[in-house]
Order: sequence, then C-alpha cells, then structure tokens
Amino acid sequence: MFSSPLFELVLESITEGLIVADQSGKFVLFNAAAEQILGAGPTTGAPVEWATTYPTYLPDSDSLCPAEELPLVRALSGETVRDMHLRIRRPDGSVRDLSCNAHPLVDHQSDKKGGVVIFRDISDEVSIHQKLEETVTALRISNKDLEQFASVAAHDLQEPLRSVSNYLQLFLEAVPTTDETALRYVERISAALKRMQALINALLNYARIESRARPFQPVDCAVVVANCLENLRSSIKDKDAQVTVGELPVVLGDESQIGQLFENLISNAIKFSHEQPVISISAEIKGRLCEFRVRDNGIGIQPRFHERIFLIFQRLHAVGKYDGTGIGLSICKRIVARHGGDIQVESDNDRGSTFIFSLKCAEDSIQ
Amino acid sequence: MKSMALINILLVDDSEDDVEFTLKALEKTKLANSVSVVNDGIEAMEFLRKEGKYATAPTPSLILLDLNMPMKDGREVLTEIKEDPNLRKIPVVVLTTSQAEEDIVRSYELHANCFVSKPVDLEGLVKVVQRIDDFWFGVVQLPTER
Repeated sequence: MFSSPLFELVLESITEGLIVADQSGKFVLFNAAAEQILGAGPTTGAPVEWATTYPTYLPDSDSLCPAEELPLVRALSGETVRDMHLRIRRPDGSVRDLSCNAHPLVDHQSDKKGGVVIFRDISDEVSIHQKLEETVTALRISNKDLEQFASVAAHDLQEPLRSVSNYLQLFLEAVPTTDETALRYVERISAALKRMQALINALLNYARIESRARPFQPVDCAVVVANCLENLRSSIKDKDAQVTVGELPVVLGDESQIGQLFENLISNAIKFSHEQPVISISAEIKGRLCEFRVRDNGIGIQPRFHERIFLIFQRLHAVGKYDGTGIGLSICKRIVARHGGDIQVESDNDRGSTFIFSLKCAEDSIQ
Repeated sequence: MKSMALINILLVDDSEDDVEFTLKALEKTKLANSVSVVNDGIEAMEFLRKEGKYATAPTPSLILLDLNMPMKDGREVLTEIKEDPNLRKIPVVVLTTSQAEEDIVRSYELHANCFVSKPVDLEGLVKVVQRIDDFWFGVVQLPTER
C-alpha cells in the first residue's frame, strides 16, 4: 500500500517510532526507530496481545494498559490520539516513557482502512521534569524554613533582648550611679541592644520579601517615589539634599516592595554623601522593560566591592561612620529578583554611584 | 476611690521576665494592690476555683491574662472563666505581646473585658499598667463582693 524508495528512506531517517496497521491489526509498516524504542521488532500477534508483547503501562500504574486504550487500537477504531503518555518495559528490563500520537488511515483508492501510531522516547524529558519538580519542592521547603526562621527571629530572639534592655533600666534604678565610666558602659549597652533590634527587624524584612509577597499589579512609580521622598523628608532636610525626579512610568509589581526598593536606594544616596547630596531618579523604557537609574554624587564604591554590597549583612564602612544594618541593598536585590530583573551599580571612589535596575512595564504604559 | 481594702490582681503569665516587669510596673502605680502570680492556665484555674494549694486564695478583682502559655493557654482560661457563673464577673484584661488581629478578635469573642497589647519597653509598660489600674480601680464601678 505504501512503497517507494523515497518513502522508505524518509521512514528510516525519522527518529520517531512509526507503526502502521491494517484494519485486521496486521502491521504493514514498522520503522527502525520503532524497533529501537520498543527494543523489539514487529509482532504478528493480534491487537489484544500488543500490550503484553510490548509490555505497556499507563504512567503511575503497575498493571498493563488495557488493549482498548492503546493508541494504535484506538486509531483502528477511528479515534485520533494526541500526546498520550505511556510507559513500556523493554525485553532488557529498561523502562522508557513514550509520548504517542495516533490517527486512523483511509486509503480511498482501495477503500482499505487502518491506523498509524507515531511515538517518541520522552524518558529524558520526564526525568528532567521530575528533577525540576524535586528541586522546586526542595526550594519551597527551604523558603518555608526561612520563613520559620524569620518568625523565630521576630519573637524568640527579640524577647530576651527586650528583657536585657528592661533589666538594664531596672538595674540602674536599683543601683543608681553617677560614675561616668559606668554610665558610658550603660549607654554602649543600650546602643548595642538597639542595633541588635534593628538587625533582627531587617532580617525579618528580608525573609518576608517572599512570604509576605503580594500579587503584581500596575504601580505608578511617580506616586511611589513621591511617597518615599515624603517618608525621607527629615533626612532630606537635614542634609539639604537636592532630589530631581524625571518622568516615571507605571510598572507591574508589588507596590509596597517597589516603594521599599526606591526608599532604600534614595536613603542610601542621602546617607553616603560627604557634601550636599544631589540625587536624580530617572527612567527609560526599553521594549517591555523600564530601566531605572538612581544617581548620586556621594562617596561612591570601588569597583571591587560592587558585588559585595548586595550580599546580606555586608558593610563597607565602620558602624560608627554610617549607621545601618548592611541589609538594605540585599533587600533591593531580592525585590528586583522577585520582579524578574537585576540590579547593578556603576560607581567609583568619590565619583558618586548610579544604581540601575529594570522592572516590567504595565501594559498601558508601553506606547 | 471606693475602698481602702487591698485590691487583689491575678497575673497569669508564663514568662518570668514579663512577670517581673509587670510587677515592677504595678509597684509604680499609685493604688495599693496585692498581686498574685501564676505561670500557666492550669494554675490560673486552680487559683480561681480555690483548689489544692490555692484553697485560701483571694478572689481577684481583676485578672491580667497572657495569651500564649504552655499547657493551657489564655484563650482556654478565658473560655473557662466566662463559662463559670462564679467567675465570669471578674474583669479580664488580656495583656499580651501579640498584636495579631486574630488574637484581638478571638479574645473579644471569648468575652475578654479588654485587649491590651503589651508595650515592649519598660517605660511603655509602666504607662499602660498605670492606665489599666486607674481605669479598673479608679473609674469603673465593679460589682461588690458576695
């Protein structure tokens, strides 16, 4: 019914297994790939025996696939089958996953009917998919652990800290002193406690980027940045900072996180300065993305530290010189990563810094 | 001021430190009071029902109740107090570090007389305890003892 040298060549060159059967279930075609994939040649057995001859299973089942569910059998009864997942055990004992397509055939000249099944070995894809799923599960567990850790940090770590702070106060009431050294120590203890508290809170914020995440929605960056500047009003005033804000688009994201991102970057720009801070915030639309730049004229960062500044708890300066927890930029990085982007810095010593990151534009702001 | 009789307050809290701070804060309030302390819900119920070693315990005029405690927590204690006709008229102030909305709602559902979030610093705690004391023993009229 089908034979020409070209047809034979094509048939043998394809990597998919291909079997054609006539209406009675007799194999008319059985290409080399079919033999390779099934690990066995054509059979003369009836369709009811196929699932035994080529031990065929439905995925996640230990019993043989019923004959009437086999793709070729279904094709012979006039049904089209798309992407059916089956598992076969080869004579050598190896188990392979197959994706099968089957179709009824009608030869109008001879009025003969039959069916074709085309299948490929998807074992590698299946195992990759499984590994991926395992990795995702492991990641989920590790995120959950982090969240657990965060709530422990929130409650159990803060409690003893509070006790120390309160007892320090009670101690001073019980043993009043005017000794300057003693008073200085007390002051240092209080400062250390406050710092510890700030670190725990910062860690908590970091851990909550995923766990307290809200779904993405259109966020007007102009409004978000205006709010940030309002929040930072007192430090802007203290340092007499000049802040220029360009035209900012509407992006797709988590509003409170985007607010935190801008606020961290702007407050850094104000903090790490040795003269009057001059800060500019601008945006440029590049396709579906919007590239933001937060630029300052501050103390700058040597290129060799450009990666380290985004790591958690990394500080480049002594605590006394610039206060902070060393967590702000790692929070920024995590927020941008959650939004599918990356954040970088362009900077050098005494030449100011420009932080550059991309966010996805909301649909209606793409012109 | 209604009477010079000693006002008894029952403080239910499992944290030794928090007990210490609350006692300190109560000490600084103007009104004379005596405070009994129990460290978990089971002891609290024994105290209130004058069972076992609490046979001679006074009936408190006010209960300061922490929510999160081992064995029997504040929610269970609150439920039992408010279900008991002999105890339900004693005002219960839920005093906890929790600020969770669900804890607030649950407490009022269980008929807490008020929910107070415990300030984390001593100064704040003293102020809050002072106000609790002022309000319950200076402003409100409580039912007289049987």
